Amino acid sequence: MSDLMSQSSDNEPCTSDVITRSGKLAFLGLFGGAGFWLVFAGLFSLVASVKMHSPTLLADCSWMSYGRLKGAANGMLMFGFGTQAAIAVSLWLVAILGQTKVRLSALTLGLSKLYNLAIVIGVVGIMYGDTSGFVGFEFPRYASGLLLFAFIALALPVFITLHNRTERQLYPSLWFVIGGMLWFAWVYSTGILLLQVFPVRGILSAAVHGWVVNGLTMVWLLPISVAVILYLIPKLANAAIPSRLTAVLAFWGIAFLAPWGGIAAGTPLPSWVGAISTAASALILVPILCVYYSVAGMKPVRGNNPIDRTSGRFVDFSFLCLLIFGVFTAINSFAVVSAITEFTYVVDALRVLAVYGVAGSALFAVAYQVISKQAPNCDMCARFAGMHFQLFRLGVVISVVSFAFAGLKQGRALANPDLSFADSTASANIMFKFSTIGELILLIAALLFMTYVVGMTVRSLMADWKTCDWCGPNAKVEVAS
Amino acid sequence: MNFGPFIFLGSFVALLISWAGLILVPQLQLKDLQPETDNTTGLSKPAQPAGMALQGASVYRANGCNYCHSQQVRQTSFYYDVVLEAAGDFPDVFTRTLMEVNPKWEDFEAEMFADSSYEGEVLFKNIDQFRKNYIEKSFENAGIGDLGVKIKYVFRPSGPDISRGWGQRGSVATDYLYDQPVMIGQQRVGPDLTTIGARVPDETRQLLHLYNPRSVTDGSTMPAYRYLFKKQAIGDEPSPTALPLADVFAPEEGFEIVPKEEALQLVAYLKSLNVQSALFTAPMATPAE
Repeated sequence: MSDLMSQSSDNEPCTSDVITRSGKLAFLGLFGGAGFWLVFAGLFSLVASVKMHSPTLLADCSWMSYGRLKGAANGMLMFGFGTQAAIAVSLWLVAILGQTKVRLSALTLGLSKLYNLAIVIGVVGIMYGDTSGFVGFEFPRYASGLLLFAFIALALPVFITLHNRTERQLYPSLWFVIGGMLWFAWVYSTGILLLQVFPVRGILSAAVHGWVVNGLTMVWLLPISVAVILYLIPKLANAAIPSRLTAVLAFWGIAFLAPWGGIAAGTPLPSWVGAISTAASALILVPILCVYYSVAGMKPVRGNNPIDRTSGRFVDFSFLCLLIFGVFTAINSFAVVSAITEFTYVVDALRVLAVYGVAGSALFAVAYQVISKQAPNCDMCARFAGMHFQLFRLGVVISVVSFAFAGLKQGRALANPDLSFADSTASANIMFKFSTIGELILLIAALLFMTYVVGMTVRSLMADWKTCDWCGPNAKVEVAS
Repeated sequence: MNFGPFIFLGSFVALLISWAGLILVPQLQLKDLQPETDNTTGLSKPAQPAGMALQGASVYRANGCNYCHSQQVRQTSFYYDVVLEAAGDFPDVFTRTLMEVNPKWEDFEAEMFADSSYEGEVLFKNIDQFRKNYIEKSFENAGIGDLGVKIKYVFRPSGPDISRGWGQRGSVATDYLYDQPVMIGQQRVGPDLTTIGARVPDETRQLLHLYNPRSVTDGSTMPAYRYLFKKQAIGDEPSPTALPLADVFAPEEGFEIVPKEEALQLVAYLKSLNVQSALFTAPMATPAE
């Protein structure tokens, strides 16, 4: 298919810079949108967190109730930031690893606006009180439907680019991209159909809800993060994956194990459902260890390019978080542990670790690789990127550690009926306050990222304007004779 | 080599299997689940919510109350109490049997328990299924049933949630038959609400808690839901629904706080969460008579 909308000439050699610049509109649009929602997700989450310390804050405004703020923040983080950035990353990986230019870049930009419209409608719906009631899948059905449509439309340029690749062999990262995009569409459409359009009866909705929410993280954001890890770590280390076998095992391990998690052993469903889900959650460590053996020991070559350094730090941090997440998930799946951690802040610790630590870091690693190529280098921008990483890492560590400790204290107190419920809340309160600091740091980090994206977009537009032969300062004016 | 179609197909199959396993099969297993009927009252168990309680469920959902409150009582184990209903006519035989069952008992202890004055009391408390089977078999072998001894085994669900009084048994699938959506909850920043209607039946207290949780519970971290209430000037007489607020929680002179319709609906919903009846699949402790 010819691509009239690519930014680069077809005659240019297909270097990685050319490929990355070929999707400028798509990448800037998608990452810009992702950064925007990340900032608002952080803001909403922070306000919700502060409300727990100051219960009368914004108590007169229904739109600002704790539950609505949390629901909106979750939606913005998961779909506004995570999913949107993951689409951009998928598109880039497909183009880079397929050695072809990005197709339908301008159309992707347009579709990203439609996607963002769906998020706006969803967030407004939640704030208005029209939430679906399923934590992690709160968007009302009119927003969910539009979001799914926009996602499928955005997946088309990815698959068209994949179809046009010149490198026919599929690098392992592309397996995860193909699988992830298929799985997201399936998981999300199942959620819409069985929770919102034709809702299943009674407790079965808890089974569907658990499967969907688990799937959004474990078979969408997690595979895309692994795809980034398997590509960027070897690339930045100037090395190759030693054996495809471990990558193959990682892929099929995630494919066959990850979708089974998400249903706690004590959920009032047939007991085998919780048992099988628990076993799968414990076994998820196996494919994660396969990822570890695929890239273990690769040391990034720290060149002079500060953006590459930041990108390398992000992907290393994502890799570390992935390992910790795997270990935590496996430990948490044991009945004796989950009996303590269920219904506690440990749930939040795992969520922050997965969405921010694993997925967010991997997505930022690619975002810096991609956005930095769209405009001339800039020292200030590079410094912003470095500061972003430092703050982001600090925010994730503080949030995860404080939520985990708060959850463990809370869980142990809840398991002891001799302690009053107020004691269980009070025991977790001090650590919970630290998590608010973590949320504040994550918000500042998000603002830095957004500033970087906006700054690079402006620089890119200015560079384009200077070289534009019909609109810029060097425009050729045809004088009528 | 191009494994694209293979990967696509494999990914499809992998998710299909989990979809079938976690969604389709439970659906087939539970599709015929029906409410039970109370033999004495003829009422449905669980009760179908209606009216204001049903509207209140929407208010609960809209405000994301399920972020902080669960609606699932966890039962971690169960025990039995062995209760003596009738001591029978041959206390010496019963005493001997009791001493066989529990060799630690001294003669006088076993004699005391085998006495008719001990009828209605608990012989063995919190014993597990294995111990219960052993005792049952020992009594059966001794033939004490034929001697007029009557023993009752009281089933006792247990777990921290039950000890806290959040319910009398673990939640089961039947409990959620009429819930749409099911809001089991994610966290217990606030207490479990499965039986909140029974624990806090006072509507005024519920309303005060919504208006300002600290007016009811010192140091509560629950955010206030003041937007569910309105402040109005007191007319000729105070409104009958005005909240009895005192001290720092009271509005300024000449004003009163009255609940809006949503607050009343939400409280009606919370009050409806008051029944946890014994089901065939989920027996509850039956107190010894």
